[in-house]
Amino acid sequence: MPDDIRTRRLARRYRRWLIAYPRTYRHERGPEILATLLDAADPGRSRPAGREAALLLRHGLGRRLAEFGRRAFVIAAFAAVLGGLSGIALGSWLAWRDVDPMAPDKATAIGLAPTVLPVPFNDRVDQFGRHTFWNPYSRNTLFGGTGVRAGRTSVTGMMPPQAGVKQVAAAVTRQMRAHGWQDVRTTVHRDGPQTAPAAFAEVTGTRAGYLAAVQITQAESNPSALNLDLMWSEPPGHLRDTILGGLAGALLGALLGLYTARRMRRYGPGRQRAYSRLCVATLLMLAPACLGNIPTSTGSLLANTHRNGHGPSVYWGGFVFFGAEPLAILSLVPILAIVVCCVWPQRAPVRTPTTA
Amino acid sequence: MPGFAYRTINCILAAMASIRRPSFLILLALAPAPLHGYAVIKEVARLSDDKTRLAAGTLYAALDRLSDEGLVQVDREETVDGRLRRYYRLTDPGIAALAAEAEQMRRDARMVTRRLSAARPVGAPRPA
Repeated sequence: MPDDIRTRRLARRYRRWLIAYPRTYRHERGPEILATLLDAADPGRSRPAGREAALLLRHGLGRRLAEFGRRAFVIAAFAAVLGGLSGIALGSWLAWRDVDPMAPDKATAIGLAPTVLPVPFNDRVDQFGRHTFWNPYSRNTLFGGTGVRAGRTSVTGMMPPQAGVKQVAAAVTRQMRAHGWQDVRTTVHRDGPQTAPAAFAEVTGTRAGYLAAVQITQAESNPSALNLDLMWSEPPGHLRDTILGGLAGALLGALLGLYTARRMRRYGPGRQRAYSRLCVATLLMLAPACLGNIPTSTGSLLANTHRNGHGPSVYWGGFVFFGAEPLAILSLVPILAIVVCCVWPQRAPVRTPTTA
Repeated sequence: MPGFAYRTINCILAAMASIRRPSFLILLALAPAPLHGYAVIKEVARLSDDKTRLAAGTLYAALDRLSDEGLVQVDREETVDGRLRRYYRLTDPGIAALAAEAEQMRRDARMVTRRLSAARPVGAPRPA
């Protein structure tokens, strides 16, 4: 290959790497850096050396980052954290929303019941299913809940005569373990001292994406009852959606932070101070909901799956956290103010015509 | 001129606090005469017995930093075979910073020599 063709090719490839530098810097220093790169290149080379390319990329991006300034990075870091937390909550919420609200169906529940209950059970199955709800004001403005409610199918078993709650719970545990249920746990409650007979026990376990909860009750006012609830333990893809949501949220937050900080640099110190205050206001308003939203396998940090109600529900937003939801909604005001300031066209300087 | 002196001292102090090996070698390379980028790379390699081979990206990042600190500045530009060559030279604060760094190194070397000569050889008996 003739030297001039090889050199042209090398120059073209170096120019591509120089794109890592900011445009103004590239315009001013690009030809000089390119000349040095070509001078320093080994004879016969038509591709940039890996180390050289990596350093160009590193210094170019470093130069770009330096142009944003320190405040932009502080803002971007906070925005990334808030965006990441919101993203993982949204990812978790979307995963729960995709769960079939009517699952497991009656046939599945009847099929699974013998793997859990060591006693005969009724063929009659109760099913509670409800589609995703979006009700930020389920109780009142300051104590609302926005979330999803997954379905639950219940099977009632016959409590063996003369058997205590603890013995039945032990039999259920053995039955579940023998049929491959994982993470089998037993909780026992007593009405009175430690020596009193157990009044209520719950055995839970998971298998094939389902959570089974067997409640065993024995009270004077209430005849003995044994109830099996079957529901989703965790939506398939919950972890994946949560991670993807978090990454996307963090990236978008960081980019928004950098973009707004850069755009606001065209204004004077007064508006820049106002911008900083709007950022702090956004942070304070969004932080409670974002922290409450941190997902767990059964919902979120401040609002887990409620199995004692009419079915498992997962609140997105930890919004049941007192007052977090109105604050999170109100945070749209400073965010919108920042965005409007950023996209607002800047007035062109007025030129006074001069007369000769 | 007190303002100029103040700025010069600040430049020297900042430079003394943060001169790293590549920056020191670049200042050293530029000490005798202005050089363009590739000539700086070659001179630095020669001065360091080929132990430090500056990449272009590193060189220009260091030159930007040294320019911001007021230690180097552009001397002139030339175009040779269609390639732009920008020559850099040391400024007065740059010369002072290099001299201060050299003096610091001399002091350090003297101290090391003194302490090493006072040190007992390994395994030598402890004086009674």
